[in-house]
Amino acid sequence: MIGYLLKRLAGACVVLWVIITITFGLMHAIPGGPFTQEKQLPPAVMATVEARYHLNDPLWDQYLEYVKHAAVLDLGPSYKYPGKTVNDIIAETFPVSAELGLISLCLAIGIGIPAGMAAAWYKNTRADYVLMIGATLGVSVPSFIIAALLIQLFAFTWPVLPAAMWKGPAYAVLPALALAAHPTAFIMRLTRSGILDALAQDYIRTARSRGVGEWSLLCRHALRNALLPVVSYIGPLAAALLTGSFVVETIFAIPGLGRHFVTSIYNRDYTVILGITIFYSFLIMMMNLLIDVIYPFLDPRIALKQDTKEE
Amino acid sequence: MDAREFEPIDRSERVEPYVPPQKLRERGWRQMKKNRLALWGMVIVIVMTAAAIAGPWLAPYTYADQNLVDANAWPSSAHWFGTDSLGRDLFVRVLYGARISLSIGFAASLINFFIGVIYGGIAGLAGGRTDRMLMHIVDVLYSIPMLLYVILLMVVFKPGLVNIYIALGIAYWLNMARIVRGQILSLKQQEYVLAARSCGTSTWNVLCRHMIPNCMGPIIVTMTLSIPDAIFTEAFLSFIGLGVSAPMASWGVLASEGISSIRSFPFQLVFPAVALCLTMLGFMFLGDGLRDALDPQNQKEAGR
Repeated sequence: MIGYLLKRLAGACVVLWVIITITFGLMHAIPGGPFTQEKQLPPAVMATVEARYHLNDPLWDQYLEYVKHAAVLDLGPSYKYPGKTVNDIIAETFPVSAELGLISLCLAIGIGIPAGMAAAWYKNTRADYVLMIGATLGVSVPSFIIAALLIQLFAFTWPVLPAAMWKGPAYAVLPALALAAHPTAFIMRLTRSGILDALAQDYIRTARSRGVGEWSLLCRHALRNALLPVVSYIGPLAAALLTGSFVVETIFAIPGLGRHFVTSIYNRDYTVILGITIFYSFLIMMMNLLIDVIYPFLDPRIALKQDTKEE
Repeated sequence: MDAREFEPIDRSERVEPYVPPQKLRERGWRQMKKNRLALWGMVIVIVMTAAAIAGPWLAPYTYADQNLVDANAWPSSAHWFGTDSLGRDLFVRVLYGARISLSIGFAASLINFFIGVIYGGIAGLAGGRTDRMLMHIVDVLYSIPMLLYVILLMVVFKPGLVNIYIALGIAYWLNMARIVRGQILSLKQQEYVLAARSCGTSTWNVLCRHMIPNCMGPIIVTMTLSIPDAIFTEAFLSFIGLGVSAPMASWGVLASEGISSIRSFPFQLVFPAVALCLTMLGFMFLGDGLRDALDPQNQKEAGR
C-alpha cells in the first residue's frame, strides 16, 4: 500500500514536471512579451521591468528558475497586478471556488444518485422518461445558458434570489445550481444504468429469494455495485466543476479562482494563466489518485496495481 | 448392449441452415430502425447539416450585412429570428453559426480519428514494450485536464477557426487511441490477419485494409459522440472570448452575445441556444443509438 502510494506520488511528480514544461513552453511560444502593449513603454522602463521579471535571461535559465520555484510551490509574481504573487491570488480566490464547488458537488451527488435510482426502479414508466429527459437536457445545455436562464427566472422575472456577487448563503443558490446541472445529469445517467446492470445480476435474484425486501434490495445490494462508476466519475467531476466555475463565476461575478483565470486570459497575464493551470492540473491529479486509492476498499475485486486499467 | 437400443440420428435437425454473415452496415441499420430516439437524432443531424450547407446560399442577407435601422428587431416575416444589435439578420447568422459549429465538430473528430487510429493502431500492432510505453503516455495525458490545454493553445495561437480545429483535434484523441488499440489487440489473434500476413501483405496494409475496417463500429460511435463534445467545448471557448473572430460567429458566440441582452431581447439568446442544444441532443441520441447498434459490448456505459 505504502509502496503503491509512493510510486503513484513519484508518477504524479513526473506528470507535474511534464505539465510545467509544456505550459512554460506554450507560454513562451507567444509572439511578443507580456509587456508588449499598444502604448510602447520607454526603453529604460522596459529594461527595468524585464530585468525585474528575469525576461532577459536565456530561456533555459528562466525555465530552470521557474521549475525550481514551482518545486517549492512558488508560482511567481503576477504581471498585471504588481506586488501580488500568483500564490497570493490563489490563496485569496480559491477558498471561494472551493466552497462553491463543494456545494455543487453535494447537490450533484444528493440529487443525481436518488434520481438515478428512481429512474432505474421505475424503468420505462413515465417517471423514468421525465427524469431521463431532464438528465439529457442537463447534459446538452451549456452551463452559461443555464446560468443566464436561472438569473432571468429567479432574479428578474420572479425576484427571490440575488443575481450576482458573493455575500452570503442566498448568493450561492443560483451559481451552485448552474454549476451542478451538468454533473447531476451525468451522475443520474450513470446511476440509472449502474442499478439496471446490478438488478439483472444473479446475486440480486439470490437475495430476493432469501426474502430480502425490495427497498433494501435496491439500497443495500444493488446500489453498492451501481455506485462504482459514479465513484470513478468523481475525478472528471472535479475537473467539470472547475471548468464550469470559469463560466459560472464570470456570469455571477463571484470573486473565485475561475473568474480570475478568465480575467487573466483577457488580460494576457501569463504567469497567472501558467500558475492557475498548474494548480488545477495538480488538483485534478490528486483527485484521480485519491479515487484510485479508495477504489479497492469499495470494490474488493479490484486490487491495487501499478499498471492502470487494461482494455 | 443391443444394437437395437441405438436410434439413428435425425440428420435434418442437426444441419443448421446457412446464415450468411451480416454486414456491419445492414445489421447496424436494422438495429437503428428499432430505436426511435436514434432516428430522431439522425433526422436532426441531417437537417442541421443540410441547413448549414445550403442555408446561407438561399438566404437574402449575409452574416455580416449590417442595417442599423433594423437593429434589435423582433422576429418578423422579413427577419425570421429578428436581428442583433447591429441589425444583422439572426436567422442567417444562426445558419452560418451552424456551418462553423458543425464544421468544428466534424473537423475535430476527424483529426481525433487520424491521430487516434494511427497511435492506437501502432500500439496494438506492435504490442509488448512499445505498446506498454505508448499506453503509459496516454494514461499520463489522461490525468491532465485537457480543456486547460485547449485554452492555453488558444491563448498562444490567435483565436480563429483553424486554430480551434487544431487545438480540439490534438487534445481529445486519447479516447480514440485507447479504443482502437483494444480492438486491434483482439483482432490480431484472428485467423484472417494471419492469413493476410502469410500472403505477404505489409504491416501497413494489414492495419489499413484489414484491421481498421473491422473495428469501424466502435470508431464511428466514438467519433459521433466526440462531435457534441467539440461543439460544446467551442461554445465554452467562445464564452470566455477565445472562439472564432468577428464578424464570423459560431452558436457559442451568438449565445454568449445573446446573454448580454437577455432582458430586453431574449430572442437573441433563445434561437442560437435552441439550435445548439437541439444539435447536441441529435448527436447524442444518434451516438447512443449507434453504440447499441454497432458496438454491443459497450452498451452498458451511460457516458464515458
